[in-house]
Amino acid sequence: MSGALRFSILFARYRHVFALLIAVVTVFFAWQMRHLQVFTQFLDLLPREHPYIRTYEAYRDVYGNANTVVLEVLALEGDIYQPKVIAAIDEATSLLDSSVVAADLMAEPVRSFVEPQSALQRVVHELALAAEHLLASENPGAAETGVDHNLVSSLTHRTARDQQIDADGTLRSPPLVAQLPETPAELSELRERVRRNPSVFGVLVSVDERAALVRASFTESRLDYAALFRHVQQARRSLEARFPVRVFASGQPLLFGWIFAFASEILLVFTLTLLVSVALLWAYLRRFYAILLPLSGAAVNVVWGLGFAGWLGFSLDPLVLVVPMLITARAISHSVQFVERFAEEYERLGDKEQACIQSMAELLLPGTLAILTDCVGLLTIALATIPLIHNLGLLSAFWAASIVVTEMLLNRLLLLYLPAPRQRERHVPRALDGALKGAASLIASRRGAGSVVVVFALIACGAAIAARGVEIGDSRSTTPILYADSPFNRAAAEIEQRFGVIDDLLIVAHSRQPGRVYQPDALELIEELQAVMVADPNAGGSISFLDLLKQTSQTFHNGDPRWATRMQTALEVAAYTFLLETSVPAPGILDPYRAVDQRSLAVRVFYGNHRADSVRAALARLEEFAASERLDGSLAVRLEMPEPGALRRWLAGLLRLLPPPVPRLAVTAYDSKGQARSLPVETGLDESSADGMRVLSRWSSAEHDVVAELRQASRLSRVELWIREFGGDFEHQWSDVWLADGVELRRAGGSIGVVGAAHTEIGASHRAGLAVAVAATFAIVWLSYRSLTVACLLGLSLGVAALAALAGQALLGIALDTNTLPIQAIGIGIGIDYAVYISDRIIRERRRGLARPAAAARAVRTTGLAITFTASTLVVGIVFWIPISSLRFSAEMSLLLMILMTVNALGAVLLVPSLVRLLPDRLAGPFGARQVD
Amino acid sequence: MLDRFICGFALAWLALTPVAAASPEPDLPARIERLARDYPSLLETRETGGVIGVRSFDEDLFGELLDRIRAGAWNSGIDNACRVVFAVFSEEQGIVAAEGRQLLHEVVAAAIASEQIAVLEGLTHVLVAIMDDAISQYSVLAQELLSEKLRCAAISLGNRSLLEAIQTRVDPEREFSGAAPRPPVQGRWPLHRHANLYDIAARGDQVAAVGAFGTVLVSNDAGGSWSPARTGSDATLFAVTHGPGEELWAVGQAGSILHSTNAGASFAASVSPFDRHLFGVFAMGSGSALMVGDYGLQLRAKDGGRSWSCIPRGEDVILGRLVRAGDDAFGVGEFGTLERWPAEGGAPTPGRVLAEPRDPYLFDVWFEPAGRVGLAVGLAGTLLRTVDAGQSWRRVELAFDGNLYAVGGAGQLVVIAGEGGFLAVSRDQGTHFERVASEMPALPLMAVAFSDPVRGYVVGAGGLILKTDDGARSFHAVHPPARR
Repeated sequence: MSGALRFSILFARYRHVFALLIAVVTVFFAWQMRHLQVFTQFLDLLPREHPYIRTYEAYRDVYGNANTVVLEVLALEGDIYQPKVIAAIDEATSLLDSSVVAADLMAEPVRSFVEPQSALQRVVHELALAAEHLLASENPGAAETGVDHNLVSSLTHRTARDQQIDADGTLRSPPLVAQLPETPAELSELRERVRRNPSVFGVLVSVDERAALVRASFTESRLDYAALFRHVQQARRSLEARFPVRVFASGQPLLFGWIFAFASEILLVFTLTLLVSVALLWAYLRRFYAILLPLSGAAVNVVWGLGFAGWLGFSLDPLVLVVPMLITARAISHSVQFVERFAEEYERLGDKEQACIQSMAELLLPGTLAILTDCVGLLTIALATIPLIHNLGLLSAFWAASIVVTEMLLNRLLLLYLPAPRQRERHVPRALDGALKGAASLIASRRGAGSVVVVFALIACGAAIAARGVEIGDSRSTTPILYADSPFNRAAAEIEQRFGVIDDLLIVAHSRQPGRVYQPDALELIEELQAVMVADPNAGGSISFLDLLKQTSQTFHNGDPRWATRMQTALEVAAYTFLLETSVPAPGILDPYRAVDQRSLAVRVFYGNHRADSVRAALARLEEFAASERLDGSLAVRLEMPEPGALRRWLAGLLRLLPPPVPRLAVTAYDSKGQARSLPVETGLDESSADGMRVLSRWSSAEHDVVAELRQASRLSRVELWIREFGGDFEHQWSDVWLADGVELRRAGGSIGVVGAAHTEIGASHRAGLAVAVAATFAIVWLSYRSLTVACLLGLSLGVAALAALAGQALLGIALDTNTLPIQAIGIGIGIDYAVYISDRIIRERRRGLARPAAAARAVRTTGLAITFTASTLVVGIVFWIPISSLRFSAEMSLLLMILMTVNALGAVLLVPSLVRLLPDRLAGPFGARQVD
Repeated sequence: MLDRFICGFALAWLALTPVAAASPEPDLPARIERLARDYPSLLETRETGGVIGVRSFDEDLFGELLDRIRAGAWNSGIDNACRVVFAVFSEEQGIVAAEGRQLLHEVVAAAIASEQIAVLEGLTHVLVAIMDDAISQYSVLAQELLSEKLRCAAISLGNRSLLEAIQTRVDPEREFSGAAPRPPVQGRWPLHRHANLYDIAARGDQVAAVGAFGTVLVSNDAGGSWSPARTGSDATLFAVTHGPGEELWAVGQAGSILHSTNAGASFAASVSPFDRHLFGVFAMGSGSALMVGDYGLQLRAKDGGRSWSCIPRGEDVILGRLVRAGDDAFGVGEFGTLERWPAEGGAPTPGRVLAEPRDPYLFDVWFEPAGRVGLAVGLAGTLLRTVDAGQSWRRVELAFDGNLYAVGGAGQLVVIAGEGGFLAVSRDQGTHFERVASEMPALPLMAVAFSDPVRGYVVGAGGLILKTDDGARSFHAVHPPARR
């Protein structure tokens, strides 16, 4: 008697105990569901360990963050220099600059800002709106937008400044628009002043003068995406109603807003999916329990999954909600396997209890194995350093693992408690059975099996070629999450076309020595960086403190553009900096450009989009520049004596009579591949401290060359110091080494830097994850069946599935990003499920004594039937995303998954049995076994 | 305004640099005693609260002193007199301090007029002492006089040792030593494509445009194709001109000079003895050129820039473009500067602006080939016209009050260009203008050049080069290359 059978018998005997246990755990998770949250935390989308993200986080309070909303105010007729249009720009500015969202606006459903286009959309919209009204809380109260008032820029905002010279030579920077212009003379004067102002013309006012931009940055910690979305949409509506303008709104925070606005549709889709699945299950199986078992199991499974998320405090991103849904679909699929198998056994044995035990025993190994491999695949996405994906990986791994309990055990339990089915014969849909019969006879013949393998090999080759086209990161200029004709994407396209500036890239020129970045050579570096970055055809412009200095110089020389030239000497820089700083009457206006500590200057480059290829091109350009253009200084090391611990103090007291120990310093430089190289350093403390720290004597030029050479050759990523004292009993690791008088270009913030970091991380996670998933699956299967043949067969199946997933993505033009990565990983996991079931069935049939072709054919007609049931149920179940969902992402994902499940089902039903059929005897492993178990 | 600018510098200098270690003349009382012996009644001092100030000053006696300096005299008595006068005047405020400033200018002018190395060396020591006294209010002025006037005189006298002595004193010290100068970015990054362009020269089919990042764009097919010249320099170039034959000059930022003898195929880079910007260049033939620029800088280069002569100038004024007027050169600049430089050499003769309440700031000038009729453009829609070879100028009314940066033409045709993409054309040598409708963005247009009455070019920001093939009836962009 096998272990599986023994367990099944025990399980049947102690059914009450198991029932109680499952009930208790389910109640626990149901209780934990109250902590569940559905929202997106921006920082969760970023790989926190990436150097770009570190730079981003280090400077986001100084130079602003990537949460920028952009409003374009477009004059319906003529240019913006009309009193009503200027008034509209001014009102748009003050609306974005206001930090409170009114309570009555918060009471409005987010969905009410969606404007349906077609009749179907209108129906969906009304239903979603009704759902949202049902779920809405009574009195939400006012909310904060989290706007950073210094990071608002607009023609009429106080941050837009004009430079003027008074008759006595004083430089002043009055606001560009102190009072709204009314008369034609005032308007044309404003036009001339704008044209003269390079930080406004082409940046805040379009070159064709028909539109103006209002930009605002929002502090992450205080940002409520749904509130901000309501606020901006309300502003847009009211401006368009009262002024002769059109208003376009774009920017990352609004994208989240749109996703929230569409989230209620998910409920509709879920409902439809449920109804259709029930109908299909009924059509296939014609049994009450065939519907009850899968659905009850799925329900408990959802409770466990959501409860787990609530328990650990994970928030669910609306976009990846499709993942839990998929896992639930997997649960249903496993359940159908069991139901079908039970029906088969019941037909054979005629006894409910026996049939239950028998089918349970038969499916225990393949079921657990399939779930385990799913789990491994999902756990690999937890390797990602992007918190959202990491958490999702953990959650879905648990969720998938819980299928073992919530479906496999619970199904069996329910069946044990339920009365025996009245009809002994199972219902077999005739058409399906006919098709499978054809497949079985095809496989039974050597030539037929051979042709199946050849066809699949061709498909795999084609998929492999197609899969090379998968892009990492958004492949379209507008967001692929929404349809191209969505208001968000239309606004983004409009702004890109008119201004070319939606996304920005922030580079910080930094030095440890205050004032160093103001030196002429540092400004030269910044000027060249800007020129190189702007030469990129995707770049729309750039601005830095140097531009303000140049502008000051130009203003000082009667507006002569030749004087907008970089300063040559430190004295000149100091003079213009002095003039500029003293001419700004309001605090904070220069904050986006320079830090008060004089250690850094910000360089911003603007882009029209964050398409994967343009981000890659921009960052490659930046890295190339940063690698070859540097201002190195001599290296210095900051040595901060750590506070001694109790033991050390005691030791120090003991050793007081001895001379104080000189820390021994070891410096190791690491290149980007992690190769270490130790650098010779002189040890000794230099007491002339620069900023209250002890500065170790500078490295001589020879050592400096070592580092320079290392940097040049291998892009030195980090320098580590080990300070050893007391002959090595105290070690302190240090990585605070800096170029004492050099300037480094810290990279990179802004939406481009952030997106670029996420892309790099996803690319790495994706490759690592794929390798780990395949290897782990291979190992698990090998250990379970103790057969290399089965492992290879299933590995092959997994490979085809992975290729099919990637090829599908490439053909649909869906890029790998934060949102698609988990789904792709799951798609790969699905590949193995069906194959495990079918190969296990073949092995069992062989053990029962059937010849290999006959065993394969039989597995196709029995297990193959269950596979066809589930696959078709799931495919039909998710088809509703495509017409209903306003999120293009969801629609595309369901299409992708439909392709995947079809390919996988076909692979399991046709390819695996054909391969088994064709295996030579000595390689057949368990498929070749003749003994009866 | 320039004074304010200098004050700004001074304030910034005081605010942002640590106070120098040098102390004010330690032995001032002794020096005053000696002055009383050498030149009694030149300066009587008073002392209030430990500060020595001016009680009376004998201007006539000082005038005599200046005459002696002008005649080539310099001795320890004169040296002492200068030191005391400026030390005491610098303690004063307001009008007296301003007078001291004027006196300092006069002493320098007298010393330069002497054309004696000994005098210049002596004065250099006095000025260095004032410059090093960071508390003196004349410190910055002394540095500028050294840097501008004395350096200029030293160059003209061809005295290298004095030139170097001054140069080492006035070159601002690099605060962060060890920073090696960065190699030119040109060649590593293609920045010339969209660099701002500031000037263009056209002759026949040969066209050359210059601008930021050391950009020189050369076309040998009348703007059909452009190739960037490898100039080996990143300095912004502000002016370009053709010389006789294949000669081509370009000058710009911080005294950068490029000279080509093969129509721009290759350039020899050099730097003028001054690190001031050069805004105008006029080729005199056989490797000589006249160059003008910031702070009234006037230089003559010989042998393609290997030797120099400096023409001293009375007032600090930004000098702009130089163009051909008949056989002579003609230049414009700040404060209504309109000057004819005779072909045979010598000092320029100024023109007058008639019936104009203030001195306009002029950016560019153009003359018809005979050099009689000319037009000058400048700040805030300023448009001046001369019919007497630049001796007198009268305003031409124009319905545009933005800055006009450029004027150019051929025969009866004149085109002016300026701020916000402004372009206007006249077909009667500048009496009447009408705007040229243009689809171009509102970028500043910096220079106009015509090779004949049909073909002409306009350059502007972002690498923009506009061309007309129909006598300024229409313009189309021939540069920069399309981005996408």
